[in-house]
Amino acid sequence: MIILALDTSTEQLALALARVHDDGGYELLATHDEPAPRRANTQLVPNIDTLMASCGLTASALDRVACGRGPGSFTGVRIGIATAKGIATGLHVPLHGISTLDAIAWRVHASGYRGDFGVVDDAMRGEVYPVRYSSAEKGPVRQTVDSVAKPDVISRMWAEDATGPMLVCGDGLKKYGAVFAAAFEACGKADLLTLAEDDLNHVSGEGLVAAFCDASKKNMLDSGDAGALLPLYTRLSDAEENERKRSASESVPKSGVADERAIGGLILRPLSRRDVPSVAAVERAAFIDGASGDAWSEGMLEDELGREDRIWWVASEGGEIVACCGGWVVDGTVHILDVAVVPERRNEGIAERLVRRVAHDALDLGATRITLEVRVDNKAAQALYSKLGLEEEGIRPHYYPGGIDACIMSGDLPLARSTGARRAGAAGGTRAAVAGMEVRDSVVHVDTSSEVHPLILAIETSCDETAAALIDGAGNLHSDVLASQIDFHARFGGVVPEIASRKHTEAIVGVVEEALLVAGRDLGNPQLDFRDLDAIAVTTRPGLVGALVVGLAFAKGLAWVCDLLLIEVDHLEGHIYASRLITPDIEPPMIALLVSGGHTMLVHAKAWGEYEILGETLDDAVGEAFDKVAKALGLGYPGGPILSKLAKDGNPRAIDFPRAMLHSGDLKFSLSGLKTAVITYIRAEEEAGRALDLRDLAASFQQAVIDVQVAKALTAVKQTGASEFCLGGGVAANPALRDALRLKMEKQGVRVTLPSLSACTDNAGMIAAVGLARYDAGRFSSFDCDALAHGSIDVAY
Amino acid sequence: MSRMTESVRKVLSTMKFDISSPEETAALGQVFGAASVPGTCLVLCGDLGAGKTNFAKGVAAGLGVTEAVVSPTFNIVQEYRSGRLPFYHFDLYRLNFEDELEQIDYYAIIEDEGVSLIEWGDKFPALLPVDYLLVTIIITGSAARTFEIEAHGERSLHLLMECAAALGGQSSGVDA
Repeated sequence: MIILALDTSTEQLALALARVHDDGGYELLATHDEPAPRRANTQLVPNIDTLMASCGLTASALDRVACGRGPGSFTGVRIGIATAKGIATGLHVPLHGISTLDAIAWRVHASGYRGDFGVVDDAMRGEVYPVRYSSAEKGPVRQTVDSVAKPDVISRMWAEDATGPMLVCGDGLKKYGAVFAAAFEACGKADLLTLAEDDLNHVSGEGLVAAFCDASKKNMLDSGDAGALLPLYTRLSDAEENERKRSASESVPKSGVADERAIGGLILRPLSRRDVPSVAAVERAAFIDGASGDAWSEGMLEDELGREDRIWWVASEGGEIVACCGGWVVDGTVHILDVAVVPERRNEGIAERLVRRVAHDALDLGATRITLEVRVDNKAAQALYSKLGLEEEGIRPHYYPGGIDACIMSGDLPLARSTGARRAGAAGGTRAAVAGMEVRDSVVHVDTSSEVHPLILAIETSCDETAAALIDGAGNLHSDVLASQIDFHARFGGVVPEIASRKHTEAIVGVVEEALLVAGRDLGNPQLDFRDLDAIAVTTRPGLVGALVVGLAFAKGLAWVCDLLLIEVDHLEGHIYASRLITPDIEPPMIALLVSGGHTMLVHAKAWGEYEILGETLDDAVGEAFDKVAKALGLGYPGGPILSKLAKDGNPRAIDFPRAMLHSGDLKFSLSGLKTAVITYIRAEEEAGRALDLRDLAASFQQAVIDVQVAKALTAVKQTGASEFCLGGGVAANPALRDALRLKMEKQGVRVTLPSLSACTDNAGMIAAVGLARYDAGRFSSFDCDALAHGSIDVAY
Repeated sequence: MSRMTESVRKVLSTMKFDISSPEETAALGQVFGAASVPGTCLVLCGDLGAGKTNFAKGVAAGLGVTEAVVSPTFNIVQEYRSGRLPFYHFDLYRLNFEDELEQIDYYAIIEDEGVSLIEWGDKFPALLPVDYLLVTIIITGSAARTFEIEAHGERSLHLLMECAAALGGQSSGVDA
């Protein structure tokens, strides 16, 4: 069995190619270890290619992929994992995660060291990832679970515990070697401590292979499901951590969405102190039938808040809490403490959603197992836990009041996915079902002749939608799949970059496989494989870099392994090309107004692929302004649809908000002043004790935005003499903006192309359209291309 | 500062420079830019309008950067490659969450072989490297400013001494 092992979670790029024997022994074929700070994304695939070539092997020789999953740099580990996912997905081979620290431990072992040692990798922000090992002849044995800690705390703990010689290694020594030396000295144990020499401080390809073989021998490898493999984070995103801290204190109200005003159904969010009385009521209602001893009291719940190892989520609807779930992370296992749903909301799947959230947070905190007790007579709950992959482990007699026995159930994290269709031919395990995934009905057939090469897969991960689509050479879009992350960002009132990157890493395999499957069906070729494609087009700019690199790294891995061409696509060019999917005969010169949460821009398309930016926003984007106003009103996220719905019944002339830059004489925009004016108005009205008329406020704000957008768009059309106009971006879904533009433009004799409502959100169909054009123009990229936060559409790429 | 060892703590020192015009602010920055070594990190704090960007422009000039230095507010980081060392200009004013820095490779950049200048870095003390110069700009008049420059770490102390020597009599005093 040939395996490729890779790790980019630290500043070291570690690669190895090895032949693993049935007895668990291995033979290294080639390794490549080099420091590559900030270069993982550009260097990884070229180095893999060189490594394989040096052994005279092609990608198809690989039987397995092993990937370091950290803990380390979040972006670094995601680049490695996304690339490995691309490779494993393309080859239909298993992908296994290896602890980066274990790989270092195996390197230490290989150096001949025997005895106690600790690995500390730099976690940045003044922290380290520490794990202790003891090394016997057979190999290192892990003593502690993955965590993140302050160097002074962990060094003191290790110094106090040390009873014999102790080696400390890891790239954390560069900054904190002196801290460890001082701690051992303070305990009078300076003679016990050895700080490792440089080459033992970094992960190596061979270490990864050794750790893989060890886990394999001990039957401790994960399932090998490429879709399920996730980085080892050991901490929540900062947004979530801050939310926890805020929730634990009573004085500060939570930000984001106020439940009462939020439009829509059930909301899941972490427990906050203000919820305690209502959650206690849920508890009493849930455990009324002879199980009242199970109910959590207010005091018990309050005690849980603010504890770093506790995770509590509530489900609320219309301002009322209907369910809650709590967990406690101890030594790598999350113990589910409580699941309670009010009787009238049972059998709706609320408990499952809550348990999944708790389990997901636990995973982020480093847990690998889940365990819980359930009443032996509660068959419904047992069925749910079985579905999540938990198995009965034993009985705890007389655990519940009344002498009822408890059934102990445990399982691995991540939890088993919800059942999804199984794709034939893929490597073991079920195809990853992805939260929020939809197969869009925007499949477009412009030419009915079947299967016209090139077949191009497009991938888009620039913001908060993971998307994939498949287009053919005639421009037929055979699939268009999208997983929205909106549920995960909504309660923060905007896209949280770290959460976006995490969700892309979770969703990418499922979304891409679905796009292939749907396209295969549409093409009448259910066996369609990635190898049958010709190219992969991927968004590389502009956007959140951490999010872009996930799609790009995956695309590179998949393209490399299936021998496909790689095409970079500018996201904004995608929005312009989206117009061609609506109006096939649209031709430049044309003016495009691109309005979204990240952009506000007038572009003059002189020809396909040749653009001039006529004007941009100097500060906030239009969508951002909508979001911020909605957030100030506690209306939820995203703000656009909510405000435009309210505006429909409001008076747009009720409040005179400023039209910034309307007469500036250029095509630049500024939204920040308007946003401030609206927020100031809200505060003044609230202070004066006057009730806000949300409809009038929304309508007046929206009108102020539209007036400027329409006026500048008209000027752009007049200046350039363009006879075509198109609108793109998320804000293109705003009905009032669409109506106003259509009316004014058509009066000028300009043809208007508006994207269908579903095509306004980011999608991969439009990326595919650009990909096809670039394919025809022969614009291919090499595997060392990088993601850019701020590409400029007017520069050829 | 609890994480600092005694030896480092002992060598902490501060210098003050009085400035009477924006040109002098840029000139001061230029001296620090010219003396910067790979890994130098300058952390700027001061109110809006204190002259942070002006100082940054001076540092860039001292490094020989030829591109126009613009405020990085909307990009968080702006990178310049035309000088004798890479120059990274950060503005953390719009940063919401610390882990956004991870996404722009902040940690790797500030430990890179370039020169980093971080505006509003004092908002996130946990994010600062071990060795840096803390530059506090105090508005003392319409154009008058006092620059208080504090060295954290040996490399920064060395740089501060070198700049003070280059500036000769301009320094208004050293309180070690």
